[in-house]
Amino acid sequence: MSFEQRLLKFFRTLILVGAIVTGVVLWIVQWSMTRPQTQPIAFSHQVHVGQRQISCFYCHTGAMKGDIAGVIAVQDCMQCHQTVAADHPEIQKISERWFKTKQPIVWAKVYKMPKHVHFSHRVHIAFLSRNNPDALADPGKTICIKCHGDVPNMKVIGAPVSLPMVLTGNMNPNTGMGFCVDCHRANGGPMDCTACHR
Amino acid sequence: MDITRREFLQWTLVTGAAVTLAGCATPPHQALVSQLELPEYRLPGEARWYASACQECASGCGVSVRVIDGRAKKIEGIPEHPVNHGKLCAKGHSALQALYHPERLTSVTRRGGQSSGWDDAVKALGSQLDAAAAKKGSMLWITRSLHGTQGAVMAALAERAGAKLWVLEFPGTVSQRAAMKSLVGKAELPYYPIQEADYIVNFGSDFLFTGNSPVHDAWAYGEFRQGKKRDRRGTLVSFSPRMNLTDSNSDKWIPVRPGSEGWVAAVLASLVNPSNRLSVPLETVSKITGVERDTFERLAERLRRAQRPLAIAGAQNGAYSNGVWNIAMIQTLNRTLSGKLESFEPDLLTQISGMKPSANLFVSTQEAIAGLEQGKFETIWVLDGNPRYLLPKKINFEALFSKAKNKVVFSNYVNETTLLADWVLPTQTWLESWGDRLIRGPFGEKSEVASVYNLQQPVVIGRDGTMSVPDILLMAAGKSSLNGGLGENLHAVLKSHFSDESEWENSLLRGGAWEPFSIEWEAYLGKNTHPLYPPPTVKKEAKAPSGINIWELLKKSSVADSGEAKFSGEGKVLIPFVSNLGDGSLANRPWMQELRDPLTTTVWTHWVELSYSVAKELGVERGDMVRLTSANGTLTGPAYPNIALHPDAVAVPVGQGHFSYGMYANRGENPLSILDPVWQEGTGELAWVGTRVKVEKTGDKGRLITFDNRWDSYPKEFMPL
Repeated sequence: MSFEQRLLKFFRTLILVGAIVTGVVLWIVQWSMTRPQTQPIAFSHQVHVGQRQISCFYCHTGAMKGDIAGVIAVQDCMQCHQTVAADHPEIQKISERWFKTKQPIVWAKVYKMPKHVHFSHRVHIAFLSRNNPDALADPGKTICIKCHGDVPNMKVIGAPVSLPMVLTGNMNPNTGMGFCVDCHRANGGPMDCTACHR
Repeated sequence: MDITRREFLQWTLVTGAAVTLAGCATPPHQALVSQLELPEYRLPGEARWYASACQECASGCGVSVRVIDGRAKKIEGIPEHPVNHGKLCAKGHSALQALYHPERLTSVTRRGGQSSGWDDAVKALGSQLDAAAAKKGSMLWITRSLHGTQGAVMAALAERAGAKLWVLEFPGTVSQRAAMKSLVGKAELPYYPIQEADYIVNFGSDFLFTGNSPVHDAWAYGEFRQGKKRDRRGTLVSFSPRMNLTDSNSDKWIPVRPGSEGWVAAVLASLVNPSNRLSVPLETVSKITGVERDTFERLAERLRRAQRPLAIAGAQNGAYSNGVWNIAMIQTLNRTLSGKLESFEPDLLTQISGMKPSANLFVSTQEAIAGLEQGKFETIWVLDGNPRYLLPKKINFEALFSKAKNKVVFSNYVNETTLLADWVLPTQTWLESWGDRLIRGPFGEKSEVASVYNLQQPVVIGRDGTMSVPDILLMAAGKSSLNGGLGENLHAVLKSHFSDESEWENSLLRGGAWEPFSIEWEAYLGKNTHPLYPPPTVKKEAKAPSGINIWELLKKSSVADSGEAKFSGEGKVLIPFVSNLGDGSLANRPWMQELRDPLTTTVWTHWVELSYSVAKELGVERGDMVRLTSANGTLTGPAYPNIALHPDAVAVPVGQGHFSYGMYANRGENPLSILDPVWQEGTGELAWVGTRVKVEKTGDKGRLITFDNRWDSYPKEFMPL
């Protein structure tokens, strides 16, 4: 093998290893930015939405009314959990906040929208349910799933529920601009920049 | 350091790009905060909940009243109460508007405009009691049904003063009690175990809306249709001349001629068990009722196959001249089906007064009016109710009432009867006064007979210048020679029911005492740590006190052989029915006025329901004014063509048509005023459905405020008309 050939092989190996290392680094960066957040209370969407079939709008009351979906107050959690599963250690964490410490719950936000993007939940829900108002009765399966992923099956919100998601690290895929634009293009949404960036 | 122009531009570009890119990055940590309480749920002040007992009707629902800063804000049912299971009807909810009504009477008023205080009034009442005791039978008390300790105090005082009690109610319960008395010997209200039945034939009782215990029955209906312990949904079939709310929930509604419901029951009883002989052939009954023979036979077959069939009668069945017969026939069907008749009763608690009511304490409406015509009564006290509104014009209550020398009306508001009084005494609502109620009936855990004792406590301080009726009576008795051992006020009397302080306090905390009653709520009470809902310190209450049923005084009426309903006049049968305004006493509550009628969705007005065929014949459309003419007057109102009304009937809701009941009530017209005084056989009460009227179109267009047009959207096969 001549020197040139060895040099070429060395560079090929270098490029391959470099590509692999870069890929791994990028994957780690992606994973670290999108991995399931540690929440103060181990709330399970799988139990509430999947098994008990509680409407998303029951807790995210703002979703149908305005821009921000929000989350209900500790008082509202206690409406049910004074009696339902009151012995569960995670529920007792909420009871303690409600009865004793009087502290709000600070959840870690999972689906984040950059500040230069204007997004309204109300407008999108109205559009997605326009031909099927019945979908509003069970939005977790039909409406919210389009952007938020398979929430009814997520034990931890934002956690991967399928192998491709694990491999790509793409747990929170649907809030990128590409996703928005694809959907707007397919459904005839506004395509000018100022529709979202204003 | 020297910076060249080129370097400056390079750095500016690099820094700008870096800042722009940094702005595009997603911030790694953002918070989503669950507030402790949402600001919109926050009310200023600290809420306290007081348990009490609703006194809007005779059902005996337990209530829990939210009070903030001394003001009652909201009334709810007590979840563990065996009668209402945590529910409450619109009437109970609207009691707040009776409490805070802007037109409440707050001072004693005397005819002639003389200012007067409670001292003068009580002295006058005391001397009237003494005069009545000296001349027995010269005093008449007009009231609604008496209950609990306050009822026993009233009955005892009436007994001592030799006063006659005239219980005047629309539609009243006397016919139901008389039928029960003739069948089982007990003058109690029939209890229908709806929650246990699997096949119900309803004869026009509106038990979900205006029945004897609508909240309990609505709970029972829920169990009947979709109770967890059932293997299949129960079936409900209804017969009535006018479809009411309950009928509209039935699987099949069959129109019958007004007053012939008893015949339907008699035929079914004879078909289910041939030993019940029918005196007339089936074809004749088909003609009387307007129901086809096939229908009877198919229904009888279903009833035979049902495991727990049930027939239900209501106040509407008792409102005809043959009312007692109607209800007796329906109860006979029940006995044929299940072999037993159950009953419940709000008893009188007579331990304290020790009274034993004598047989001639009550007078029926017919006897009372005869007595008034003869001028037998020198003193008349209207303790509760508005007889001038309820009685037909033909009876001329104004003239009869004015024959009496002393006329005293106890009332919260100015109404038609207070205008005729010498003394008007401002009274308190049940949210400001003491009282109690004992309901004896199959409310136990396994539907066995249990006593439910409701304790009613003042949840707010009473309105200045007002007093509760039993307290006024006890004070008046104190000024007379009749008060031996009756007690000073009702609070003292109630407290003496309890032997020890902790029982009294537990009853106050829980709203009464009832037999141990096990539901999941008990487990909840054990866990509850909410500071505003302290759990009762003991779960098992003291046994409720026992009482007596004053209605046992009713004379045993023999049920006539003939079940023919009598109607005076010509034309269509006028059915005055109960809607949201009850007997008219709720007409001054805006909440009840603006509450839609459950079937027509009408608000704030009266209307005249005509069957489609009659409306077509007259050329009347919805909202056209029609005139109903009886021998005693006319009533005009906007028409509501109703597909679910028998063509032989017209129906008008009761409640509107006041001329002196405050700013919210003075509207519409009163169908009771044009009735003929037709009497019920066997009881001497008014037959509210006993008048025929002529129907004419006036040619004017009226205003009918409705919310939808639902009759037309019903499937046609549901309506056999």
